[in-house]
Amino acid sequence: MVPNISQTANDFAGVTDDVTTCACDAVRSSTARAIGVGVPGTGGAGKIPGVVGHIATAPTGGARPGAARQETIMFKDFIIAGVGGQGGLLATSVLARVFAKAGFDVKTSEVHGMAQRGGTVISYVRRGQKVYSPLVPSGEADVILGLEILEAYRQLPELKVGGLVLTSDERIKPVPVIMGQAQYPDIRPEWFLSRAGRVLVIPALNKAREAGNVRAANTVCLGALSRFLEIPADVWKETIAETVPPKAVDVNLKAFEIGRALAGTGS
Amino acid sequence: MAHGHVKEARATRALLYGNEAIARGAWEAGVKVAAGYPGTPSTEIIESLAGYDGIHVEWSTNEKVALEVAIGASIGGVRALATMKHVGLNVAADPLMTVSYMGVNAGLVIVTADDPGMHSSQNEQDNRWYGRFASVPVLEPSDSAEALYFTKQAFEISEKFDVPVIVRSVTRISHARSLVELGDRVEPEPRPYRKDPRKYVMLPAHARGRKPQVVARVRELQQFASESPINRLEWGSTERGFITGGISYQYVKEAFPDASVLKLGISYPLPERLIKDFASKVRVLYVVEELDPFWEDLVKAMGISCHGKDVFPQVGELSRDYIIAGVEKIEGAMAVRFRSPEAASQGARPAGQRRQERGPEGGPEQGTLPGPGDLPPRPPVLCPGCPHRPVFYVLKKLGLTVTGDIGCYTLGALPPLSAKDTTTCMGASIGHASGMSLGLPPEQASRVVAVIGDSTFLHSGLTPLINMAYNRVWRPVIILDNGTTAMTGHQGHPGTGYDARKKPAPRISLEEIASACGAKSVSVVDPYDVKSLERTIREALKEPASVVITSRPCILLPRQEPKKRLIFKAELCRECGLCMQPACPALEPDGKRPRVNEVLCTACGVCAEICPRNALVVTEAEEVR
Repeated sequence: MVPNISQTANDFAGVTDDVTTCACDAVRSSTARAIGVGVPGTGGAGKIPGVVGHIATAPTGGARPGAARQETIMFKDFIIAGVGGQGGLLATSVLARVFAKAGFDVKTSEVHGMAQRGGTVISYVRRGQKVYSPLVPSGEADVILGLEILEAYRQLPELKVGGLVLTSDERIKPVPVIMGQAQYPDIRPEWFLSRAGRVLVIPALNKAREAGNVRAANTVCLGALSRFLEIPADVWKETIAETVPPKAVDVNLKAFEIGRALAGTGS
Repeated sequence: MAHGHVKEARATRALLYGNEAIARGAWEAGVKVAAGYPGTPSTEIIESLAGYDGIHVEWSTNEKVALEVAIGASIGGVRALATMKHVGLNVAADPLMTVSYMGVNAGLVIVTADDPGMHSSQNEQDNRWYGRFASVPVLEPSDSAEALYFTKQAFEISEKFDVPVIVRSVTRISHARSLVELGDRVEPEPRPYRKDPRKYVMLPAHARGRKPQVVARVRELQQFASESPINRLEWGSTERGFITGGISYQYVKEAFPDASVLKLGISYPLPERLIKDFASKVRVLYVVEELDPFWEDLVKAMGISCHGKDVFPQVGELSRDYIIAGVEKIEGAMAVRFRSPEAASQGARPAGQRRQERGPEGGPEQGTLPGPGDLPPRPPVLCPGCPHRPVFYVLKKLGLTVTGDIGCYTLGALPPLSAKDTTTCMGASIGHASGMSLGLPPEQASRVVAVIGDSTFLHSGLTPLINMAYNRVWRPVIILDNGTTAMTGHQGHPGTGYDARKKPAPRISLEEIASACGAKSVSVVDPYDVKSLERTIREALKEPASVVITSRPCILLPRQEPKKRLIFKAELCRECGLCMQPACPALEPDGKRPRVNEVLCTACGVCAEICPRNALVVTEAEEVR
């Protein structure tokens, strides 16, 4: 039932190159900004405007040749970070079900906070042959999936060095900022490179609008994430169709495709 | 909340929340009656059961009523379930302590969902104590598969030992998902009811007759615990052994996958024979449990020495890293080997506290980037358009002392509204208001009001209101009626007009209840009408025997009103800043002026009501350009 992990790694290596290259294309067309390239030999990365996280200067872990590929197959612990009302829990559901369908053991954990909306919402998804704790150990997350960039950055200490950050560029002001008591930090993609090996910042909200509903921004992010995982797109689409409300299926499938295209070519 | 359980019921394997798994387990066990009161993290058990046909599922008015309904169903001959959060069992403790003497007819299971770490609770009490307190067994699952299986087993144990059984969950079980195998439902024959006053009428003589059986039953259950597969031995290296259970088991296994573990599925009573045997075979013994040293004390009372709260925290949730750190304290870092070299170099960073402990590190720009402590926090807030906001605005404006209660509106305590003086437990606001007015000097006493939500009022606000009337210790009571149990996700209650299955139900009138309880003045006011609201509260201060009902549905409930829009007319603004005092997230400061955040704004018009210059205006959406 459980995929052979090392084999999957080899299958996935090519995809990694696609992701990197295509993310660079995306930068040129101003639809996405990708930096901190974790795959050696794509020298073009250094020429991309705004890219500071060249392979040579990235921190340990993702920096070593070969390490990136190894790390790719190690994507098993995910943190999904967002704000109440953004659909983080739905994204958690989809991701977990995708892994379950692919034959992995899966656990998720989330906290239903004090208020219906407006607070930070963090959830965890873990997969593997056998998963014990539903909590991702601190500083060992393989991936941060951000639905809001401040919340993604807030979780950065939870990422393992060399891990992947994929986040929407959406900025939602917390109340202290609205009240003028604090500044919303001008988070730049390269900030994530203090731990991340790879960073992808995508205009998920705008892309969701293109798909037909701003509320599908979470699915745009999942689409982008899907390019970094070895699981076939069909499994994702089937899962999305089963998980979102019936009348939202079409919009979400479109959002998924748009997100997937943002992070790479193909399918 | 839409759960996939109905769809997945046809499959044999499903990814379920612990709460969905408990519901599924109860359903498979043939439960006929399920009753609960909403409370994080327990709420989804009843919500999930409401998706199954052929059983009675209800939101009871409170946890005590829920348990009493379940006890009655059990006596009547069908399997019954009562669900609640940890503090809910305090409310239900009265029937619990005595149903222990009575025992059951058909199986009776009580689910308590505890909240270590207090993600959404006012305390983190450890409800395993209720097992020992009431002499009833406590089962504690460590994932969703066990949540399903243990719930089924709990009904069997209940009937076998003539005892109510507690299933204890925690946030990381209830709100975590893992894979389960689904089974079919059994339909047990209803057990005939035989009138038996010695068993079911607990007058002193009968209760004295039952007490020896309660004591003997614990011994029988102890024996059962040593034999039951619900407690499990996992032998590995005998260098160290762990006695653990529930979610702590997962953290232990992740930290030390090869260690020997005695996994307790039955948290009370403990399997003494099994524990003594296990302890004799391992070199160093650790007892790992979240919150209180409940097992540790019992193990030590068996004459066994072990490590527990000397090295593991008693506060908040545990984590893999806490287990590692604790063992390191005894055995030294060199003796402890685990999979992540990075974690080893960084030491333990327990869940819940970890984000505050350090900034991004190890990168090229270390030291120049803001760390987590430098980032603006994102506290939960009253939603834009929340009907509670104008109430707290007025209470703050009038400088009143406000005894509060449990619900979203607890957030009215946070700055900048800061309009609350107390929050204790469900229904406490009203008694507190009486008591504070008795304790304070007269001038201050006359400024005390109580604030309570509609669901909370019906849960446990009636008796203290009657108490105010009877003892003539009135203070104005403001019932925030948003027509739902909002904080836990919009469950029905007797004032909403719909039930646990969202079917129409009789609607209890809060006004009539308030009058019947003896209030001399009962007013209903729309909180969006801030001027009327302020006038009504001012009036209430003159007549302490008054109840003010602020009536406006929760902004998150579906609405049929025409689309409206808030317009800011900059030319009229005199920069007084009044409009921003209610602290609505949809009104951002732009210098000294407001700027409307069109995405967030619900056009509730509260700020427009407050503006003395009519610079903020609510208009029909079509009128704008």
